[in-house]
Amino acid sequence: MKRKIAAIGLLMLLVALPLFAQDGDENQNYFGGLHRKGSQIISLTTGAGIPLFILPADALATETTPLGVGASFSLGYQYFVANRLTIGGSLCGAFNTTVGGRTLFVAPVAFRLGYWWGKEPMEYTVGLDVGATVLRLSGEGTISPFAKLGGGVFTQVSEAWSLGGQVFWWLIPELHFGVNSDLTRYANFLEISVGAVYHF
Amino acid sequence: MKIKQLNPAFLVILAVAASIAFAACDNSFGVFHEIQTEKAQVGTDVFKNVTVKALAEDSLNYYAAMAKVFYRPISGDTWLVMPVNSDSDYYCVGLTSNGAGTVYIATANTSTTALKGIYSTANSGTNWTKMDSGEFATKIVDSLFYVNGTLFVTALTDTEDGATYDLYYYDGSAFVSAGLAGLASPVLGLTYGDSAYWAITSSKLYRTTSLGTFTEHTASGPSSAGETLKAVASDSAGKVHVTTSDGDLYTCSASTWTSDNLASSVSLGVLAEVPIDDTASAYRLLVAKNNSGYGYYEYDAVTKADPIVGNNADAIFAPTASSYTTTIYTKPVMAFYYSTTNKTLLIGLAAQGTDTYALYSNTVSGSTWSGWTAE
Repeated sequence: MKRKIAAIGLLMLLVALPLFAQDGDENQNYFGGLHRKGSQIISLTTGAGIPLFILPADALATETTPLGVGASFSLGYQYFVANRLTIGGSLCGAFNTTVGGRTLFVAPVAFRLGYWWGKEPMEYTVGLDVGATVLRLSGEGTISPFAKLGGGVFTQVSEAWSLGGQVFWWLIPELHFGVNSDLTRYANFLEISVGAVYHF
Repeated sequence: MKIKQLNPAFLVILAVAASIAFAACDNSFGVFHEIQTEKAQVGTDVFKNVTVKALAEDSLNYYAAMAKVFYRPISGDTWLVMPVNSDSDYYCVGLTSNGAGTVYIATANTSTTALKGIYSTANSGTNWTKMDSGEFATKIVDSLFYVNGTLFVTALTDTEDGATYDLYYYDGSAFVSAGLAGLASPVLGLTYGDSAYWAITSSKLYRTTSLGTFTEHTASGPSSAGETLKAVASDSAGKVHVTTSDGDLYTCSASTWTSDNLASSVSLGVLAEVPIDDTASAYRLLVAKNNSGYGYYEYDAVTKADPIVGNNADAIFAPTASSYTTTIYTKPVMAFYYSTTNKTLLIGLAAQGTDTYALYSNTVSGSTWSGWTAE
């Protein structure tokens, strides 16, 4: 439980930090024009996928942490439809091993709504992804809705490239219907990753 | 670059496509439910990446045959090599028990495959009795069966024209031919049911009521139908069951054979009847299978309802689906053994290359099974 609380606190802190980082002196050239309407971003990240909790709890569960920390990666594209405001999409993948020796594979495809701001060389973003994900376990699986919410901090290392890190909360509502509705679960993960952003 | 405004029709199509994708998935497989109910399997290292080919018990121990025979006290949890007649440098070629306290083990030389001996012990390995006396000097013993109060031995003879296979039984003083000799295929199984002994090879079914004179049973049943046979067993009602490579289960009762197709295009394997609870109020057949995965089916041979895979929500022996999918699912089943005394079901698997275990146990109390746990 302490781990979950710590993870939630860390996420909230990291997401909120960029908001405080805004200051009134920010150039209104929108990060050298890179956050201006019409600009585009490709991002690539890799990091850890930390399982937080699965709801509701299962009466037959015997292990408190049935999933181990895994790996995640993502490839994203965003287009500035207005100054600082983006829409786009992301392809992600994540692996976590289970206590039973299996591997959970999660592969979300999502639309993204993002917001970017900053003062050179630091830029910040928050975003919401909504989509669907493939879940695979022992050769069986399903497709579920998917959402993730979080943000990142990047530092500009060249005119087009920024490097940094991000934290996202993943929510996977695995929905089942009819006689199988008791299998419905809401899984929560924390993605902590490093990444690169390419502006063009 | 400009992005065109999204067409509402596109969004509707997208929503419908997503709905169809969700609906098309297997609604009965709960990924996170499975994960929640998993438990760590921490067994004995000696059972990792190996094959357990036979199981047995006596009043004190369980026995598992791999290259050697390992045993553990029924009340304990440590598996050790069983020295056979004070010898631990052997290769096990057969293991069985009579259910009344006697264990039989056939051992061979580890480098030459020559038989060292067929031994019995009635006191859990304290004393051993050598049962053979040169009958297999020119043969290779490859399995033991204990059926209807009689110990049987299958053996092969290498010749220039290929191997031939024989079946022997112990008549109280020596091993003599059971009536099957010079077969082109090995004897895969042996049982007693419907008032007769039954033996199978991959293509033939043999029957006798008097040992020494097995005859091929061609009037009816699986071999007359040209089936490829996989295993034979009998149940508590005296019925004889034979599995085939194309998913059929043949049953003989009162001299009449019937067949059920448990699953099309699925090769079946060894089978055993196991009570569903500790009072044996009813039974299910456990039938090994080999299709996309391995594992077993549960089958009610009385109602003849459709068989269910071991992780089905209605499965008796795996209280949670993950109890089966994290233990049995990916491995061929080599042997089932149910201890009536201890209400414990053992399963021996071929686990090479899986980095998992080859032996699991499952105990029933009342009507509740504990689920599969690595030994």
